[in-house]
Amino acid sequence: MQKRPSLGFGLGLRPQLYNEIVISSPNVDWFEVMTEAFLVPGGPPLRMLDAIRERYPVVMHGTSMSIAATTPLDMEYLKDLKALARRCRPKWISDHLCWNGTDGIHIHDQLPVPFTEEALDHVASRIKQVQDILGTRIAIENVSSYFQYTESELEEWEFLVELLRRADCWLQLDLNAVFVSGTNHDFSTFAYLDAVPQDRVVQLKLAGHSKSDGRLINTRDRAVCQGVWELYERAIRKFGPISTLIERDGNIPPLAELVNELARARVIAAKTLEPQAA
Amino acid sequence: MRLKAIQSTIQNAILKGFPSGDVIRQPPDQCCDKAIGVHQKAYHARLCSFLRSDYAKLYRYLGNDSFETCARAYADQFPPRSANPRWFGQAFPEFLKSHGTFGKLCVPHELAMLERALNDAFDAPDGPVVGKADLAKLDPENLAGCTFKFSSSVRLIELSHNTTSIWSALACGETPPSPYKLDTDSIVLVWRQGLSSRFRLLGEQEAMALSAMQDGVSYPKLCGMLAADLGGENAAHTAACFLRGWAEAEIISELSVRGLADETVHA
Repeated sequence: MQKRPSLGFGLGLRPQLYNEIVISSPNVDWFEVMTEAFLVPGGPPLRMLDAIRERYPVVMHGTSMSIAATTPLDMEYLKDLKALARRCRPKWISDHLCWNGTDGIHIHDQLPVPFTEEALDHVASRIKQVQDILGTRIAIENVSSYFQYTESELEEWEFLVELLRRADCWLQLDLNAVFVSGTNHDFSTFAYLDAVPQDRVVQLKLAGHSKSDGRLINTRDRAVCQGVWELYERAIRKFGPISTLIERDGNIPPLAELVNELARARVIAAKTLEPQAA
Repeated sequence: MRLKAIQSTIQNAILKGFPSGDVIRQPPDQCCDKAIGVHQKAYHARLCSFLRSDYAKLYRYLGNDSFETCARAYADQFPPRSANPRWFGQAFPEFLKSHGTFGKLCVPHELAMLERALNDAFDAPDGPVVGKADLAKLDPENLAGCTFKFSSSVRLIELSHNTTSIWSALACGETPPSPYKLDTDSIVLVWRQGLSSRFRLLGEQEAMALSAMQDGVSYPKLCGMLAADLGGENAAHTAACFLRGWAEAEIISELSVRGLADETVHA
């Protein structure tokens, strides 16, 4: 499989940043847009998306596909998603390797999948179905987890690697989620990273997390921690130049602060790749 | 255990506090409840934040504790069923009308109704706008055969209390006035102009006129309806003023002129 060209260094687009981005055209190579924020009939959000799309490449990242749910795929949602993709022509479309609810309820949370053969079959077939509907290969993003299933037969990375092969999809690798889950479940984040096939990864995601009740929680409401930066350096060494994103969902600072954080990613990537270039 | 059963067990543990049984592997701290608790907390916090964002003035009016109590009761009664959080709070105004203490008060329900209308107007479908310049181009004789269509952002809501004054004070960060019942119910026009949602109180005749024209009543018929109260000449002048105001507010999306040849003109 041919590796996707790097988009460079991007930020998660959030409403608090819209105006500043349009006015100041910051030093950001691309933006990841939250799909659901733009699944609306019309009005300013879509106009803002158009304005940003004119200046920057975008990637569409959703939270509600519920790809691992056992209830039928939400065709209405997929129809709207496809229409939005036609409008903003993203470099790719992604969502999470999770389920968002069952029995007609959508709990707006990313619940982990048990790493079983049954789940592998189920999720791979749903990803293929979505790819057929959208007419494009999608990227799946690993989620943080705070518990593990008794039924799991595989390690998370083993499940992920096999899923990517069976579904023939991309991986959007959330390094903060790897770090959070690795700490919570005491697995080696390096082993995770080493197992992931290089040619499937389209993006590395960086974010911050918090600690509550003895667990790390992927709150994405603070700066990237040192442990995640170290993981990033290792990932860059393995994957080479690759689209990198910093995501912030809460306590969103001024745009300049995020651009500075992104500059750190640029420096780490440049330094890590230097010897390879020589 | 099959995947479907696993998912139902976990969801029931999060939403209803049912035991997760042996679905979850014993964590290092030996506490499965804490592991599920992360998702329980996130579920309620997230839904409350959706409502807080959609009903920001109501949140300020009720205060954090009352609002959260209400939000939690709403989530229990109307758990989210849409993949898009944008639609989770749509039934909140109606819920408030009948919920406990708030059901006896009109203002929380009316504030929520006003905020929902403003939100709905904000991301209503885009469409063409018939402006003042378009109206000016129209031959006055053609007005006789005119019908109008209005922007899909337009909403008319009926309020029995001084809710708009309370909303305005809350929007400015001021202490809202005490609530009181109006002598007669007011009709509020909510719409989007440019990038912003707006509202304004309508007089009785303008409310009647807009409502009638939304239903497809033609311009001369509207003049006839107004003439019953105002007399012929005043009715024509008043109708023209309304039309000009609506064009300025950019709420007219289409006008059709049906003349002798039954011609239709779209702006």
